[in-house]
Amino acid sequence: MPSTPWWFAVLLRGLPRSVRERHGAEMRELLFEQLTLARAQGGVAVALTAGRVIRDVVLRIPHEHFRRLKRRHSGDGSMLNSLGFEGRQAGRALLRQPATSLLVIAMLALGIAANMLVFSMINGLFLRPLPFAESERLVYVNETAPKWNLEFTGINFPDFDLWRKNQRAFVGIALYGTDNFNVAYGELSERVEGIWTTHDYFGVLELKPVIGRTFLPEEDKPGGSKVALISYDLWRARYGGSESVLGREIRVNSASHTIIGVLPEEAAFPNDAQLWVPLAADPAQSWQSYFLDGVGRLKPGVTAEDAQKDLLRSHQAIFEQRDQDKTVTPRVLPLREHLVGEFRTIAIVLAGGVAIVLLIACVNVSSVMLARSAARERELGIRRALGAGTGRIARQLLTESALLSVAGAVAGVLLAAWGMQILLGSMPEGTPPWMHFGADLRTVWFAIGVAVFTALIASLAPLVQATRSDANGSLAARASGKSSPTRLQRRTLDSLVAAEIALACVLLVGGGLLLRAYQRIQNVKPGFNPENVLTFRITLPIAKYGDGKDRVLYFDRALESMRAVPGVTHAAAVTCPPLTCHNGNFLEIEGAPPRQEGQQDPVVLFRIATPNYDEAIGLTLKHGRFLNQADQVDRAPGVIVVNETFARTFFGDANPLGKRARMRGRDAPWLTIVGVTNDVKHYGLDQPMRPGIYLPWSQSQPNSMALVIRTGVEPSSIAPGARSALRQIDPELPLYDLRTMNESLRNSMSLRRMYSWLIAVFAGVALALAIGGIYGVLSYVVGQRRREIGIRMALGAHRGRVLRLVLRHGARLAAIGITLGLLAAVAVTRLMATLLFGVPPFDPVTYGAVVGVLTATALIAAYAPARRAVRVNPQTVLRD
Amino acid sequence: MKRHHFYILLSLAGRDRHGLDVMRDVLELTEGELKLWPATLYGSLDELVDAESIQELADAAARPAGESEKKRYYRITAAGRAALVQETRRIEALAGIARLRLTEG
Repeated sequence: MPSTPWWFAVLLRGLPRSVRERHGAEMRELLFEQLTLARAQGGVAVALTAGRVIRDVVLRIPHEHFRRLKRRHSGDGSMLNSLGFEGRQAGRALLRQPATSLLVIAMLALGIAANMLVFSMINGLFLRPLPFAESERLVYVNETAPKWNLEFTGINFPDFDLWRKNQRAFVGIALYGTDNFNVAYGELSERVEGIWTTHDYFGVLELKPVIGRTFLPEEDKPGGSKVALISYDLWRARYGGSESVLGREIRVNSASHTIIGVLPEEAAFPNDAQLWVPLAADPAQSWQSYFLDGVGRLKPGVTAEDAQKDLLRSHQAIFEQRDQDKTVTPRVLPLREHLVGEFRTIAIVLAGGVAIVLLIACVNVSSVMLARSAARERELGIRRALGAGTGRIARQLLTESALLSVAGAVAGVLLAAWGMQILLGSMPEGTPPWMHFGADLRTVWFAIGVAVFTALIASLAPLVQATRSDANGSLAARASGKSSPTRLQRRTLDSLVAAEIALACVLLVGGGLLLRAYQRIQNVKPGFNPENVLTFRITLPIAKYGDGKDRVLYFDRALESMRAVPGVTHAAAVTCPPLTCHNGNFLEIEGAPPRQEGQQDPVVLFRIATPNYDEAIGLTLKHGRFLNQADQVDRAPGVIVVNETFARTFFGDANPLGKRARMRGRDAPWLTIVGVTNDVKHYGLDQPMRPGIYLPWSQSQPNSMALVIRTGVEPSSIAPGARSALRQIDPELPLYDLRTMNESLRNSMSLRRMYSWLIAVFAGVALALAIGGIYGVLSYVVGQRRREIGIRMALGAHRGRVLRLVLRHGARLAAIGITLGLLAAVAVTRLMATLLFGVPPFDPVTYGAVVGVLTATALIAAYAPARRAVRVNPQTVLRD
Repeated sequence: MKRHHFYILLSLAGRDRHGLDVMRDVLELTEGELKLWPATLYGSLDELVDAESIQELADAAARPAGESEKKRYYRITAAGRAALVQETRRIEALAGIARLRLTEG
């Protein structure tokens, strides 16, 4: 059986279950045949066919449900007839007040759209299963070192090897490390994302290759044969999807590898991996390197905590051999939590925000409907007098709100689809491929659920109202149409409006605080000058540049050629420019007292830099000097330049110049501190800085460096010149991660920008809805009290007094709402503290502004009805 | 009579068929002009069963030999055949009148 397109599956859900069960399979087959026929005629025909099928099923859905009902009630058409009657009746009633109906639909659409939008995100992050079989049994494995101030250290291969042999909790565990590879196919070369893995990785994730096979254990050993797996995309793009790809050679980082298989699309995890190569690590390696990630599949019924205990047990030998302090221990947590855990607070805040918007929309609709039903009391009274039972009237009101909610839901879904486009456009760069935010069955059910919920809430108040009023009383009282709303009605309306203002107040405070935090972060000085700086990265394949001298030579030549490009003022290279990678290490300070028990050992950020890096990125030198050409020479005396945090952390107020430090654990040479620079916001504007140092070439010759180019012209304009200059040095080397420093800064802020603005937009929508509510209810009350107002004025009440009467009513509602709202906000914003970047949750500026805005808008919303009240002509009112 | 009901009956008048087969046959009968889309086709089949113009073949013996059991087969009833004949006569009469008018004009 061929697979059914998802949209058809969704459509079929609309049909009655009996029809689906009887004909579903055959309908799918029919669709398949029609699509196959159309495919022979090209893409347009397929689209047309799909369109016709959708139309066919959609039009048929109500018909089939009607038929089913008819069959069920065969011989007794009354129920059905009555349903049809009510539908028509409700439709007519709504059309009689088109403005009100449109208003209600628009309010519902806004509320529903906001909820759909946020739900799609929550669905994509937390609910949709990861693209692997039984993904709830997958866990992320790493090592943790609280004493080093590190949540994750990365896994040391010998540790892993021991775990793998001794563990009992897992079906399997595997290691992986993400990386970028230079890949060359004949003439062509490019930079692709890829993964180093142990051979068991694919078994753990239960990934089956599309063609070929995955790695064998013997290929995952030092000196094992060089093999590679490629992605489905790469297979299609570079090899035309041909099976002859198996056994072909591919050059990875200038070393020849044999392609042994193609992995399916869902294998692109956790990055957009195109290539997989065996890790081939040596369990007997003498050095310690904590950098790999681990993934495991738990045995059924085993929890992540159990698994962590199991690994800890397997780890005992390491504690005994080389970690008596028990500094580094295994850490296991559910895979999804590792992947999306950081979004949890944001998701909760956003979900809370939209829930409030929806509640306000419901309250608003409820009050509008209540006002409407009160105005229709006469009509309902007549119907009741003519023999319509309470049930029947209630059913009519329910049908009306159901119609409105369906219309609102449809409009809301369309609005959400549009909003989603905008939102996806503003997603942070590097959103992993397994995160999908498109619609699925869950979204459909959610939309239906929200629509039903709003229909119920929106019809609650009028329903209570309708069932309470008695036929005789209302008919008699309303025959003349001169009555005012009952006390109960007025009190209900008033409390609904106050509730709305309170809810809007909570959201405004939340949105205001987030925007204040965003603004505060934007004013943070990055510690470097991002204007007119272009950065890109070059990685030299070890196969070709095995000797450190060759690497130094290459980068020297590259920088020389960059300085010759017109418009370039400074060119320098560094291992990790701001906002990119992290390379942490531990330092031993000469003469420092031994650390106390339990004292944290700070991780130091290591960066290898060329002279002039300070000028190229725009650092400020605080003391001493930056690295110079003499430092770079082989066997030059070891020097380092440190940042202010380093100086403060290790030397307090003392002058660090001339002090010495060295790498811990090995017989490393002492390095003399020759300069102190300012701190750079290396991990993001809203993140704290670690102690950091800059080292010269003479200490280490990395094969991957970022070139930092300061220009006198628009920085991106020199990219083509830079590219061609580098091609002349080595045509096989692609440059990548090309961006201006300003782009990097913007990217680092995009997630915060997105959620801060979303909440602000929701707050704006809530405010607009609340204003609408105040205006609507006061207009209604003024309309109903025209007679009373007329009499007051006839008895000599001053116009100003009448104006104040209505305004005071609005102000009273606002005051109650704001008071309640502020109390709620104080409780709620505490949850957001982690997102506020030092803005106090009780920030007086935000609270003051919200009170001001709400009071002002409430009074403006009350002013129009108040003016109308003043214009009441006592004579006309009294004559009626 | 609805147009697609007519064609479905006409298709079943030849022999017993399943839904997909009806769709193919009608496509051929009308030279590709009438394509029966899924919901309409199976909805119409249900309607015709309700109207007792056709019947679903329940037992395996009634099924055409060598056909799969997964698919539902339909057979036209006497009433269905009568309705088809009546509709055909109506169309014939209509065609006659039309032809007369057109030659007169």
